[in-house]
Amino acid sequence: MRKDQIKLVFTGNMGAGKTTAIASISEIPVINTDVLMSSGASADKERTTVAMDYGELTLGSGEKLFLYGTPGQQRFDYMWQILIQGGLGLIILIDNSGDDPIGDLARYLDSFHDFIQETGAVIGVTHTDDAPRPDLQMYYHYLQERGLQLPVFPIDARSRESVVMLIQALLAILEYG
Amino acid sequence: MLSKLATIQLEQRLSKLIEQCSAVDAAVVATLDGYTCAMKQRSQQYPLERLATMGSTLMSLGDTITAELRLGTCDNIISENKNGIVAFMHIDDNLVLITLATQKNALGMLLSHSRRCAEEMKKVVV
Amino acid sequence: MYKLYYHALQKNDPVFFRSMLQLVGLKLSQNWEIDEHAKLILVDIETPEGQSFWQNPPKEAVLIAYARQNDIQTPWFLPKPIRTQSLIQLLNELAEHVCCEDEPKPQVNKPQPSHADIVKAKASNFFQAEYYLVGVLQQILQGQSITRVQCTGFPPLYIIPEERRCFTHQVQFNQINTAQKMFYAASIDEIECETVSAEQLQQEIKQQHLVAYPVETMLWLSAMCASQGRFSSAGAQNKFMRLVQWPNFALFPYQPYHMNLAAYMLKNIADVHGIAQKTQCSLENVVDFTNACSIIGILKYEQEHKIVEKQLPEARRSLFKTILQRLADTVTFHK
Ligand SMILES: Nc1nc2c(ncn2[C@@H]2O[C@H](COP(=O)(O)OP(=O)(O)OP(=O)(O)O)[C@@H](O)[C@H]2O)c(=O)[nH]1
Ligand SMILES: [Mg+2]
Repeated sequence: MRKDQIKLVFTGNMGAGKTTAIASISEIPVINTDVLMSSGASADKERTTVAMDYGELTLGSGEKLFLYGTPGQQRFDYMWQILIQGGLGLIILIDNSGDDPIGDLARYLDSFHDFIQETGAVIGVTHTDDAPRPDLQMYYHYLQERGLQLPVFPIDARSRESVVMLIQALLAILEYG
Repeated sequence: MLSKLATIQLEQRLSKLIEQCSAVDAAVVATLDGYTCAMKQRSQQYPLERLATMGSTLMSLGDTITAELRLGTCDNIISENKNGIVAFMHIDDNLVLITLATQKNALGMLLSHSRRCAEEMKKVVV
Repeated sequence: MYKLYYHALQKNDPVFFRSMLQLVGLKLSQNWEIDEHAKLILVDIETPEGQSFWQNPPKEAVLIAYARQNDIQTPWFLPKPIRTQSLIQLLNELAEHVCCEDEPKPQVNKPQPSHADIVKAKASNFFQAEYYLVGVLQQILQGQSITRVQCTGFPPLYIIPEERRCFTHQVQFNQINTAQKMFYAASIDEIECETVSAEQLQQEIKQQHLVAYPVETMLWLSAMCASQGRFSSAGAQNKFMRLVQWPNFALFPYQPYHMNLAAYMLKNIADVHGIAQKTQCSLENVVDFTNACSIIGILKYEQEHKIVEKQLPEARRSLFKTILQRLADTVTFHK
């Protein structure tokens, strides 16, 4: 990876909306490696990311901001460490309608622990329209127990506005937090 | 998911591949989302399930790259290394065959046997 | 006499509570007494009995949650175990904000300070929430009646205290106009409050196509609009403060500098001047932000200040600026 590459990385559990989130802000059609799910994985969506998502935004300076999404499933965790290299910060998306969303968050906080320490992370909780619980307070409670001060926002990965909010918060903590 | 019968047939075909081609040390059939369907190796030395998952990542990256460049579908991906060769190829749209050889200079043999194997497997899983 | 009682306290807690009350007596702004007919009731919500009491409180009761953590984010809360400092603070705030006199509260709970007081409050250099919509909302939230808040010329706002929700016409967060700002900044003499039945509200929702918002949205907007860069008190300028949690920016309109303020105030403890300087934000904006945070209960005052020095290379800063600009460029809000 080039050292001066400007990139943001989206991670989080399967179906949380990483591919969708990148698609909602990228100016190019997202290059993704989504494949049909065999019935081995349990989810009611059709496709899953097996290598990465990739999107771009051209900045005023002419430079490019790269948006990378990781596969969500733990089986692909070797991609996580590859994709994270040189990232400005991490956006973690958690599907609130899963069996154990806080447990899911815990896994990503563990897996990306060092990277988060060095840079920063924000948490977007998706599918709160289908599953209002656990509520935000429970996430904050959990983070407090871990001694972390990361922001948590309920978002909809399909809305550009809410993805922008996550990035704004991430940049704010990188600069002022 | 594949039927029990299809799985057995794939396993038999993998055994045949290893018998017929001395260069092949291990072979796996994986779904494109990284689940193992069948595997065989000469001695139990490789983590083939992990290889299956990574194979799916690589195969779909290959597909993505060739689609970007408008080169048609990706036939195979070859990884040539100091101590061996790994080849990845499509069986059909949903399945990938991954074969591994430790012999040097075995690339041609590995590819031709694997390709034939993949083609026969395609008929099994339709 | 100010009265309160307790419910579902465990083991020695009733005795302990009584003796603590005696102990802190001199430091309280009012004389407090334990009385089983009191409307103020301290409830141990960590017990099943307390939980069900909390869900179904007696009519007119004002409940104080007693627990290790204020997980339910209720305005009246006493941390477990009881400590003198938190007890003093709670009782003094209750004395100030909650009507404890024996006569029943009027149904239409419109506070009625004199006209002169209101004029004074509006011209004051200090932001006194109780003279504005935000104060009215806070008061309604302490009660239990569904209330219609109406300001001449503006659509009504309905508050359901129990659900901590309100109903009103759809708010376009990105285009709050001057007229709407006037509503959020309305002073109490411009506001009419009336309790309504759940059925009435249901009908209004249907007929007027009202949309639900969490009360935090209205508290935030009304605090932001009424604050006008004014400190909440003379002492507020020099107080050290921090945020205990991120504001939920998904609920209200915000500017990127609000994000910066939140990020800074979660990591550092500083006074408003320090915060303004470090975040390159105007003092007014910092004051409005801290007032709003205080209203939604995420601001905490501290004795000592604590600054974590952090200097980002200039190249990074300008990169972030370009990214933010790019994101703002094409934000097409449509909801
Ligand atoms: N109802 C609802 N649907 C959402 C929300 N956010 C995303 N979605 C939908 O949820 C699905 C998310 O799928 P993806 O974007 O593929 O998820 P992913 O995180 O990339 O998943 P993997 O690649 O499998 O790890 C899409 O169908 C989205 O439209 C939300 O807040 N509410
Ligand atoms: Mg994906």
